Amino acid sequence: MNFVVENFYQSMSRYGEELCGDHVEMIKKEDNSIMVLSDGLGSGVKASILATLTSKIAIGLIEKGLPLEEIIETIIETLPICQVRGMAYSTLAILKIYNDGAAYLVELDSPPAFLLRKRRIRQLEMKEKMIKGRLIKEAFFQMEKGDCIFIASDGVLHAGIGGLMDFGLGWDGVTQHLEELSAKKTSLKQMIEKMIKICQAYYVMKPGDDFTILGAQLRVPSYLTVMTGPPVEEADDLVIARKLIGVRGRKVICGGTTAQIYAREMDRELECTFDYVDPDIPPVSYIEGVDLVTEGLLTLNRTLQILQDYRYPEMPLGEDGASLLARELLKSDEITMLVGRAVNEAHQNLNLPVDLGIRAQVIERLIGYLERLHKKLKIEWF
Amino acid sequence: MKKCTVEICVGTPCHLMGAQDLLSAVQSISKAQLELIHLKTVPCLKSCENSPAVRINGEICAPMTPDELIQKITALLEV
Repeated sequence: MNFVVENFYQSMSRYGEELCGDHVEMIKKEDNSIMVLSDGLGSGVKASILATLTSKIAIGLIEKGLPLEEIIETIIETLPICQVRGMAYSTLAILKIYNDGAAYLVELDSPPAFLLRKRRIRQLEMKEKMIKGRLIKEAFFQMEKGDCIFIASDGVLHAGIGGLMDFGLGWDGVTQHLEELSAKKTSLKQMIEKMIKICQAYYVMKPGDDFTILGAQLRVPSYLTVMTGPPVEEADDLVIARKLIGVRGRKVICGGTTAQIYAREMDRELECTFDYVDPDIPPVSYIEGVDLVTEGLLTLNRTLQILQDYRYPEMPLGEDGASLLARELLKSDEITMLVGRAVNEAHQNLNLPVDLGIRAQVIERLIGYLERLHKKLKIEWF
Repeated sequence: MKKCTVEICVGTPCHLMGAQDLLSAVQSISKAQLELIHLKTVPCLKSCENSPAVRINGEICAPMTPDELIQKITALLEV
């Protein structure tokens, strides 16, 4: 069975610094995800430049399939040398996870990764080798469904120095907190956010170092089906409605007429609301068994705008139909669109701009954005 | 006992042509009058070419302005 890799990270700068000296780069591909964490020497601008350069070079070269030796060599030769310390230095951790769970981890002076399996943290067995005078540790391993792996910069292990502890939290301390957090059955994102808060507390809110936690989880894909637009043939009304009711995962209907068709064909009550959360977006409705029912054209166009402005990992806020739809789309891995092609004559009299008024064009643009976000898409026209 | 049912269409054309103003107008009438009205929103009344549309006691009234709607409701409540 194929899984998907969900990833998330959060960083905190050293107290008083605006720039973080840790940097994360992530790439999602058809069958794998690559994540890189680098911690630059010191803190502030210099550290940020070192970490950014290191992680950008690493991820660029991994993507091109270059061998590890060449990647390390390029990084060592490219980093600018600090005038004060006379050296160029940053740590590096590279994690590549395939959708079948096969994983590869490389560590260059970064703390050992934390593999969370069935609420227990374990350390990976790493093989050591020297490349260009630097000790490289690497591991090939298999992740199982539900497994999480966390990579932390040393600021996480040192949490507490200058604050609540003399020698910091250490690997065992972080392990204990991660195991406790996993027992609460929180999501990967919540676990990382909470762990960051714990570190801040150990530092008494004045971190003496930049710190970052990067996590990845192997999980089953989440499915979403969106039904929008009335079918050209009336006979297809029942077909499209049956298709939606029978799918696995979450269900969304976009369009008032479409919602009426579904309610009629499936003999369900369609309940409309008055709540204009956003004056530009018509209110959402409710149908039993459907997770979200919105208006069509205006909501879809606003959703497009939201996706265009979307910056990982912040989810769009807002409780209007478009924000709710955008969140449904962003949270899903595999999306099926059931699109009716009937022309709504009434919309043709509204003098809407061409690109806003034609459903097929709006859907095609939406699909373009979602594909860029590495969502798997399937479209069925009716 | 509700004296009249007012269904305001919030479909795309009606929304663009001022359904929200119709809704606000009805919601701003006196509390005593509002208690006699069954106010609802509906996704489409199939009167898109005459938007914004309202259905009052089963009768489609389109297009409608907020003033016309209030007059119509007041007349019905006075009967």
